Amino acid sequence: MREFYNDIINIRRMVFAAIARIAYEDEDLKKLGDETYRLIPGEKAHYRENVFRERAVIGERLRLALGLDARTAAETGPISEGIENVDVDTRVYTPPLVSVIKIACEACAEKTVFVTNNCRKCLAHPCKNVCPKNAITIEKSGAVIDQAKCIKCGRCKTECPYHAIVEYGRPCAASCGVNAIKSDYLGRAEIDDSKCVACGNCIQECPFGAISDKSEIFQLIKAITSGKEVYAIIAPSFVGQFGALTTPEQVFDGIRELGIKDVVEVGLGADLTTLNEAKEFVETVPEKDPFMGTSCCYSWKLMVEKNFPEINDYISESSTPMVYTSHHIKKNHPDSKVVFIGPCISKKLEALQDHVKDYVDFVITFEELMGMFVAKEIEPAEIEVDGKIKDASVTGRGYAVGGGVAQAVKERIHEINPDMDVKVECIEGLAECVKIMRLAKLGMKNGLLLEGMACKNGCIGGPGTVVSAARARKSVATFSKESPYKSPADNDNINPEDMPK
Amino acid sequence: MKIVVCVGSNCTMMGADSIIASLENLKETILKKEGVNPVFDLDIEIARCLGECKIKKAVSPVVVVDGVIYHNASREEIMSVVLDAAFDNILTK
Repeated sequence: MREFYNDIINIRRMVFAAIARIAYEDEDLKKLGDETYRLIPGEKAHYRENVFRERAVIGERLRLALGLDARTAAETGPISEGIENVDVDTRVYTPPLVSVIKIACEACAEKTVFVTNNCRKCLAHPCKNVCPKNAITIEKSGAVIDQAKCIKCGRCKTECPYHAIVEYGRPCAASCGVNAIKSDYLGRAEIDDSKCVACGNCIQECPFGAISDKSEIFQLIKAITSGKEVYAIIAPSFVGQFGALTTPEQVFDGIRELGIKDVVEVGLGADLTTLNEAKEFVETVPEKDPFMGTSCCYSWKLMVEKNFPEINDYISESSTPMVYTSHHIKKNHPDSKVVFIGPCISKKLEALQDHVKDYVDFVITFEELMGMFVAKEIEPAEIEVDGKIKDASVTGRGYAVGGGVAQAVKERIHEINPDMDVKVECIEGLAECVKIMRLAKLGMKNGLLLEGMACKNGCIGGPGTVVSAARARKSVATFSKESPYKSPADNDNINPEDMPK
Repeated sequence: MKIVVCVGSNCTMMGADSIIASLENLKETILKKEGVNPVFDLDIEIARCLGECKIKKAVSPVVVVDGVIYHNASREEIMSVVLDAAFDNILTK
């Protein structure tokens, strides 16, 4: 979460709450245009240069939240165009998951070296003297860089005694760990889907709020209101996300008040991931495989698959906590629908995979769930609850925080073989993950258990979170300690036949 | 000075958490510096839904500063109210 981007975060969340309300109140989607006036009332602009553009952008956001594709200005017709295709109670969205809202993109320069008005037009003008391309002239206004000649070496910037020269690029592209952001013919950002791993970093970093993913809240709510039996599975990072006074038990009850049959911690599946990965590590490293990478972060997994095919086999074969937990639900309730609620958007993509799509029917984020609470006017903090949640072990709950997965697997390996000394390395942030995998490819990470997380701080730093990672970290730690199961092997919610042999 | 930050659903969605974080940060940084009125004390309290959003739409986040209710509170507005009071002795004397 980009903490100081208040307006962008709030616009995004207001859209989720609006779509959730429309779905619950069964409003006619043809009237979606009215919603743009409700969200952006009056005639004064608050966010952009004029109110018309504000409404146009929020209109595209509403459409993305319904699962539709983002349109360009050339394609922008009636807001309700194509809406009948998404007015259903099953998953409809198709990739791309992350796209640029072209009418919101300000086409920031890819990389620019620029003279600001700090320039004193000094006599020494070292900027001009060091320029290897003779691109700088001193004019009446001060130093001027001929952008056609400039090779962005940055020497003038270093030499200026007044710090008058700055170098900047696109925040979206700078945040992308896999260089998936290019330019279109108007210089606006464009995402290369063959490279994108849907980590959501660019969504958080764009200062114009011009990048968004698609949502499935509308179809989820339609599934609930049409009477389908929907079960929610909620990622370990949920603790503390829904109000500083809301307990985990109240979150579960709040979700039930939304019309969802029951809730299970994804920590239960995390316990199965721990048990399987520990077993796998003991059996394969270093005899069969030189190292093992964890498998729970889908963006990390996808990044390795796309960029490092030759070492892709060393990523654990164990399923992700989401998959194990959804299997657990579907086994007990074969006709039910499962919604995964998490901090993550790449799970929306994982859920489309052949081996997952029949188990996970919908994926929404914590922000989207918050929108549902607001739409239904549910105050989780005011619900009276009995008892405690007991779905997952201490270390299963720890998956939420960077380093938690490796810690869980390491502790479990120690239980299996107390003499084995496991070295772990935890990597946070997609760009960092790429760096480490380059080294791994060269054999420099042999013998290690590598935990890869596309988000800084791990899942609590995900793009779909509501509160800052620092606050979430404390809440997760407290809840983790409350678990009655010290080891994932003690978790008696897991069917004995599902335990790895 | 007593500040109550509403952490109901609407207010949490609209950034109550970031207001609390900013106030806690002020307490740790600027309010420890010299020049702060020695009798000034900042008490940050979090509260369940204060009900403001149920009376009037689009008022979140809601913050109450010494009994004065702020609708659509922003962190910069609240921080400035705090600092004006904290450095009161310099400004008035």
